Amino acid sequence: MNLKGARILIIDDDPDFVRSTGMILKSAGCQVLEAFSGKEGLEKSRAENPDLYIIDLMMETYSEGFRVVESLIKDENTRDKPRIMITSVDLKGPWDTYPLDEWSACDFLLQKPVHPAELLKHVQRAMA
Amino acid sequence: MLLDRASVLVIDDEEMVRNSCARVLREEGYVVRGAETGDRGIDVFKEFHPDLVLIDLKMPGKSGMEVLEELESEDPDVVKIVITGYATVSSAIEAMQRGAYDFIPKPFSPDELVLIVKRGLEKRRLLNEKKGLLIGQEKIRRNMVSLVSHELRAPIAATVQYLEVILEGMAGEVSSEAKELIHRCDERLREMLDMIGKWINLAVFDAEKMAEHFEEVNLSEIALKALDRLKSSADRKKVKLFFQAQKNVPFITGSKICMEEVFNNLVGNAIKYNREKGRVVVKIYEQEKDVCFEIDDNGIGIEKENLPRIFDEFYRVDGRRNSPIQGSGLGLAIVKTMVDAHGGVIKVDSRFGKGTNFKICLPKDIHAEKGS
Repeated sequence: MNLKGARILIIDDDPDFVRSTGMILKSAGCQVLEAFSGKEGLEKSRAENPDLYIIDLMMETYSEGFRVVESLIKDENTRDKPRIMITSVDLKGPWDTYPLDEWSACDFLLQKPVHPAELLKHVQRAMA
Repeated sequence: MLLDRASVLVIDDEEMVRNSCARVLREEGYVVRGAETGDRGIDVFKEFHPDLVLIDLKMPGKSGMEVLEELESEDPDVVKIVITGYATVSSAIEAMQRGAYDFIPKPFSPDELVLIVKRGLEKRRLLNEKKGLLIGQEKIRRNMVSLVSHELRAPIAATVQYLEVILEGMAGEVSSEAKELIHRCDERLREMLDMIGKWINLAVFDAEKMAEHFEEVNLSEIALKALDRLKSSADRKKVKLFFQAQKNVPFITGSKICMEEVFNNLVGNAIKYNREKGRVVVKIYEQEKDVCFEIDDNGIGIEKENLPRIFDEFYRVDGRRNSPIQGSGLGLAIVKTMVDAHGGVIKVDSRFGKGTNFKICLPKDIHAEKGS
C-alpha cells in the first residue's frame, strides 16, 4: 500500500525522536503532524483528524500513552484509527511493570530505536 | 479472613472441649469450626483456611504433634496453638519447636482461652502487615529500576534512530567512509542498549515471580529458533551450525523467555568465540529424570584458570576485553541464573585452543524434584 499523503500524528515528548521519526515517514511521502505531550496529542487529534497515531508511553505521566489510547478509543471518530505505540521501556524487562493487556489496545508495539525500514513496514501494515 | 472476622479451627476429640471453645470464641466474634480427629482437622483446615488453629496434643489416631507438623508444612503462617492435657514442659517445647506459637494447658478458663487466641491473632496480623510491607517495597524497587532503565535507554535510542536515518540517506548524501563510521557508532550503541537490558534483567530477576509464569516448554523448538536467528552471524564467520535431537524428548516445565535467553547466549557465544570454518553442535536428549542439552564448539576455548570465573557478572576472559569481539560479560551470568531458577545444573568443559562444551540438565518435572 502506498503511504503517500497518509496523515500521521506523532505524540512523543522527546523532540529528537519526533524529528527522526518524522523524517522517516516523510521519506515515504507521509504528511507528519507533531505533538509533544499526551494533552497536546489529543488536541491535535481533534483538530487534525489524522489517519494513524504513533504514541510514546512515558510522557508527562508514567503511562501517559495508555491514557491517550483510552481517550482515542472512547471517541467514535478516532476509535478505529490504527495506533502504534513506541517506547524506550525495555519490553523484555520485568513483566509486571505494565499490565500486558494494556498493550493490546494498540495495533503494534515497538521498542525504540526503530529501524526506518521496520517502522515503515509497521505503518504500512497498520494502515492496510 | 482477617479483614472481617478472624476464623479459628478447634481440633479436639472431646466434644465438650470443642463445644465450649466454640461458644466462648463465637461470643468474641470469631468464626469457629471444629474437628474431632486429626485427619478430619487437616481436611477442614484446607477448605476453611482459618487464621488460627487450636490442636489437642492427645488424640486417638493421628496425634496432635503429627497434625501440627502437617499443618505447618501446609501453611506456616497460620498460627497454631496446642492444647496439652498433660502439661509437661517437654511436650510443650517439642510442639513449639515444630511450629506451634503457644500452648494452653487443660483445664483452662474462658478468659485464658480468649487471651491466648487474641495474642495469637495479633501475631498473625503483624506478620501479614510485614509481608504486605515487603511486597510494597519490592514493587517500588522494580518500578524504580524500570524508570532508570527507561531514562538510560531513551537518549541512546534517540541517537541510534538519528544515525539510522542518516545511514538510510534520509538526511542527504553520506560518503562511504562516513557511512562506515556511523555504522560502527550504531552497532556500539545497540550493544550498549542490549547491555543495559541484560543488566537490569539480572538485577531485578526474581525466581519466584518467574515460576508463576511456568508453562510447558519444548526445548527443541526453542533451540531451532535460536539457531535460525543466529544463522546469519554464523554465516558471516563461516561457522557451521548442527542440531541433533533425540526423538520424542519430553517437554520441561519452565519459562520460554528464559530458555530462549539461555540458547541465544550459549549459541551466540559458541559462534562468537569460534574460528573461521568452525562448527557448533546443539544436542538435546533425555537422561534419567532430566532433559539435557549441550552446546559444543571447536572454537578458541577457555584457559583452565579462567573457567571458575566465567559465570561471574561482568567477567570477561582476560585478553578479550581488547579483542574485536564485543560482549557485556553478562551472558553467562544470566544463563546460570536462569538454569538455577529451573532447578537445573550447568557444566562446562573446555580445552584452550580446542573448543568448549556447555552441558545443561533440567528436571523434566520441577515440582516432583521440589517435593521429594
